[in-house]
Amino acid sequence: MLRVEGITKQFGGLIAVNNLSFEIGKGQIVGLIGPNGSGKSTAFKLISGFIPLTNGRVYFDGEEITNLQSHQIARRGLTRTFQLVRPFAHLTALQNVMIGGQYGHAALSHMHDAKDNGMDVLAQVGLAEKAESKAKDLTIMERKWLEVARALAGRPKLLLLDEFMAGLNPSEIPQAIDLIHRINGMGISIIIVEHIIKAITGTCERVIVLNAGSKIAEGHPTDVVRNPEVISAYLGRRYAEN
Amino acid sequence: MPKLTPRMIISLLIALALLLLPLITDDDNILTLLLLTFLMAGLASSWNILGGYTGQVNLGHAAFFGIGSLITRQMWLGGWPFALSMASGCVVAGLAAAVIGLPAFRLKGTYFAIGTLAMAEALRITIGNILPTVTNLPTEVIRNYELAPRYYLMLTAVLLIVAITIYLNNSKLGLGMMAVREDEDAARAVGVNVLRVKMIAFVMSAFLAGMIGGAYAFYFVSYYPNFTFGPLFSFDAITVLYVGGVGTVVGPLIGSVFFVILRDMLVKNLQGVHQLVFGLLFIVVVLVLPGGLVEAWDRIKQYVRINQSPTKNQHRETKAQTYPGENLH
Ligand SMILES: Nc1ncnc2c1ncn2[C@@H]1O[C@H](COP(=O)(O)OP(=O)(O)O)[C@@H](O)[C@H]1O
Ligand SMILES: [Mg+2]
Repeated sequence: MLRVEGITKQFGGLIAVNNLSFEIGKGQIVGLIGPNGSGKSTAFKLISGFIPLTNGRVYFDGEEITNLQSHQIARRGLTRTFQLVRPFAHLTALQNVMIGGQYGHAALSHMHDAKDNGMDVLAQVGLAEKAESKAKDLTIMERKWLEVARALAGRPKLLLLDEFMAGLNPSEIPQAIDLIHRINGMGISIIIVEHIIKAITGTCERVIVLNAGSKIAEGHPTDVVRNPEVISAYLGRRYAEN
Repeated sequence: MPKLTPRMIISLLIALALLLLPLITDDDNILTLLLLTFLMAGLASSWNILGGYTGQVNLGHAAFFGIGSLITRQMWLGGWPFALSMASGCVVAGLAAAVIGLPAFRLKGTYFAIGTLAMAEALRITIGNILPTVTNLPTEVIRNYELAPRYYLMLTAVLLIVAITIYLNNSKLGLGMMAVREDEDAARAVGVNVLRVKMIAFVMSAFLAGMIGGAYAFYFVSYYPNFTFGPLFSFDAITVLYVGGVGTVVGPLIGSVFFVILRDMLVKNLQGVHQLVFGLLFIVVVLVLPGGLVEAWDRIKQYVRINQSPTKNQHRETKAQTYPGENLH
């Protein structure tokens, strides 16, 4: 589904992502973890075509997408969300998701199809009642759901969720995890970026650990959290104490 | 067939009244004032497509109005049928936007605004050098000059632009434009080809400004060819739109009525300072009422509703709706 080969991003003297390679199979949920500043968001931006690579190649669905523009990549069914949500603030929730359905991989050209699809997706994230509310009038939490709904409306094959669970309160985490499973149940592969490792140990079948831009471990979450390099480099004392 | 709302019925009645007016009155003052209102409404509505819907502030809108009037007038005076001349004016204005758009959209925000202003000024000066003499309507046209056909042409042009903005409110293209206005990166992330949407909006906006220019060339008896490239046509259009309500269908219409009436009063009573008044008005609107008269009207309606409501305390919390244009500054 997705194959990333040696992607590298250099910002001046800083190597934000260093020779990162991995693969995601169809229907998988994979976690990308690492401390703040380890290059997770940058990796997402590289894969989704938001910033040019310094080096490396990206293949999606059997085709090379390395040099495609971000909207072309989204149209092929690889959609990212933003760590800090970015809804279309002055448009309604429904308009937000309609745009996702019309311009995304779903390519719904008729307004009524986009509307039906949009209402379905809003219902899936529990926002059906807010369809006519402007995005800026939603709560932070609702805007997070809307961000995911807008991506979902395009019927992606692979969804990149950037710190989707950050900022949710503990009672909302199970809802978020449930949503991730439902999305996956539709046959959509998912990469989740999180820096709270506990949030995804139960959800991901595999995690990739970044530290200072490089991959330092990859494997089943329960194995990875025992890996000494991961513990010292990333989890540190705090996790060991828990 | 969509259901007729009270708002649609009122709009249709107004349109009908405007269409019938020249049959009822031959008071040239009224027709002229209305024609100038249509002119402002057309300029503002066409600017709205790129500025209000797509969020790209073009300070050189007059260039496309100017190109439309120039091509129309020159071809028409050169013996071509008027309809063909006007159509050419629209097409050339649209093509000019296509040519300018590719490099101009590499500039963001303020730089795009300044770039378009510089482009329009350069055109105005160039046209002034190439065609320094006044253009007049042919004598036989002046001899049989009638206001009504000019009135109808301008009105039709405006109605067409209004129909297009109504379509934009409820179409994939219009939603794509608004997505670009709201957040280019978020738009890209869901598959919107941002540059393409901007280009389409720019070409549409310029084509329609060219159409208004063509109608102007049909109406105005005598002017310097570079007059229609003047920056005031851009600035007045923007003032009209912001006063009325940017990014809405009715904003430019309400704004143009307000603008033309106010200008008429100012020119009669405060000759010379009316530009200053409009400048101040624009600043006040942007600062105090970014959604213009449309927003003011919404606020009043909301206020009335809250105060008439039996459960009014519960409604107190309802926030006044602010307006899509507010993010443009
Ligand atoms: N546009 C940029 N220019 C310069 N440095 C950047 C830029 N974006 C990110 N960085 C740097 O790259 C590193 C990785 O950032 P990021 O990918 O956002 O980390 P994470 O998402 O893992 O917290 C950080 O040191 C950050 O400061
Ligand atoms: Mg990040």
